Amino acid sequence: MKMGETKGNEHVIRAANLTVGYSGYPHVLSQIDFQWEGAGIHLIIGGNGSGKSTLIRTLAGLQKQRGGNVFWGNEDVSQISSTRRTAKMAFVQSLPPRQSELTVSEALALSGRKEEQINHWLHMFDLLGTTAKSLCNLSDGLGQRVMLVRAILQDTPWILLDEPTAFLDVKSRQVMWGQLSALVSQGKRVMVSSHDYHLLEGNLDLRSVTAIRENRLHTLNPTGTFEDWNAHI
Amino acid sequence: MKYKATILLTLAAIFGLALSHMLSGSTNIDWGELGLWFSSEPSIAGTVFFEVRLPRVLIAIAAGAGLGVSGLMMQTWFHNPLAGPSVLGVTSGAGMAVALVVLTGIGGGWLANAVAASVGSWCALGLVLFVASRFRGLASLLIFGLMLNYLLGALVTVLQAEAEENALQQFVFWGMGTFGQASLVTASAVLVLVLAASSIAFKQHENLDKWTLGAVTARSMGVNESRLQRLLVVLTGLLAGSITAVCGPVAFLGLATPHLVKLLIPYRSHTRLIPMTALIGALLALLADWGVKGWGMADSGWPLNAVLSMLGAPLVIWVLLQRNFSRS
Repeated sequence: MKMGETKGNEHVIRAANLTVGYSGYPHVLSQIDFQWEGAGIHLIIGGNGSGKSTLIRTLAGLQKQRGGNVFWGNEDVSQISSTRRTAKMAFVQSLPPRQSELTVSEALALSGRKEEQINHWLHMFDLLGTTAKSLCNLSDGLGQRVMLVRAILQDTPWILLDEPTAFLDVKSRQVMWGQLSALVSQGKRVMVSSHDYHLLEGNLDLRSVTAIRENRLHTLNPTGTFEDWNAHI
Repeated sequence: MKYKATILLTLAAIFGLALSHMLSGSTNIDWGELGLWFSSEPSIAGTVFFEVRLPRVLIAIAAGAGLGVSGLMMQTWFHNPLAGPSVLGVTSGAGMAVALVVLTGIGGGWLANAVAASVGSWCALGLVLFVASRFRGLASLLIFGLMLNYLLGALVTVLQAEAEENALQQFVFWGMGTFGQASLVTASAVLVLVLAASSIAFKQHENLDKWTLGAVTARSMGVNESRLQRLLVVLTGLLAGSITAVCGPVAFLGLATPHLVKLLIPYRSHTRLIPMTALIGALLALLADWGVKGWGMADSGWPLNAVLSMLGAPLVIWVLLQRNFSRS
């Protein structure tokens, strides 16, 4: 492998002949070849049960694929140690941390970042007043916002979000989408699966839109309209 | 109160309580005579001190600390504030195994009991883990634990009905829970085990903290789920097993201690929860043993589990009232 090659596609997420799903069930996606690259928001849409979550978890290396490979740059995800994986990819799950009694500051201290840095992001996301509260005592919207800050503090080139707004009320959803754009302005690559894509219509940070339909992936136009996208799922 | 001050205060309280336990009783302890215990002609005071009171205090400290830490680990692992070795049937598993070796006359020595109890608790814990993934919500797991307790209890009753009188009597006293049956050797051995297991658990504090954020998030933060689970099973089984073998199925300490700790300190990271839970567990056990020895009109005192239930049950009910369980 040449040095230049590594550099060029270091931050590309690539599915190679990838089959995802759960053992004992029909495959969610079969033998897909696809790639996602570049700073911006990469949106994944699809109907209920179409496999958005399964795909995004598999791409994040958090769920075993049924066949084929996932590559981050030139590296096969299954070959990357968990320590190095945490340096490359942060993940936010759809369920807010309702069970965790950790206080906000304890949860964010797990990142190992300096206090000023943590406070900077707490300030950016309007969370400074919550630091002494337990995560389980926060509203779902605030809890999910803390998890977003946690992911940012992991300081990875990619942040993957699995339906991060699924449990949020309308207002919290809008706030969260606005905050994703704040991440993109920091040069982050954000991949997000969601049903709330109408809120992303016309978003200038939208880099790609991928629809899941009939067990295949389809590339849609990121500058298209909500109706255009809907026609494909 | 600051964390360090709380730790020091708790340590002082443990020390004071332990000392008061060792000095009180029908035999007066003359410190000058204690040295004679090591000579060929030990005094009565020396025998009482080294063979009765010291082991009793040591095993109470070990049992309180060990059950507290195992309760905390189970509550964290299952994301369930009402989990604990006695609630989820782990203690019953140990009890069932001990009943099997004692009542059938196969074993009876403390080592045989300890091995049987550990194996018993591992089996129960394995069963709980196996079914836990199929349950949604906090209540199902607890009801499963309750049923497991009934089932194992019924098996023990059947064994008792079939057992001979001598073995039965031994087993019935063990079943009420006691800190009074340990020898200096077994008490020290269990204490060392508890210290070792708690330190190993402490080393996992970051992983345990991450685990509270949910399984997928924890995995994304580098937690090796199956390794953490294996470790927790081994530690919890060893703790609950060895303590149950020596003290009988001790109720409530595992479940209640972490909650009492959370009332006392505002911190929720396992760096602080684990040491504090061990200390408060030891303190609770020593306090309960005062209830056993101090108020009993009968010579044998009140059964330990009766005292612990009187202390623990109201605390757990209070916790239930405080928390909102509808959002599981």
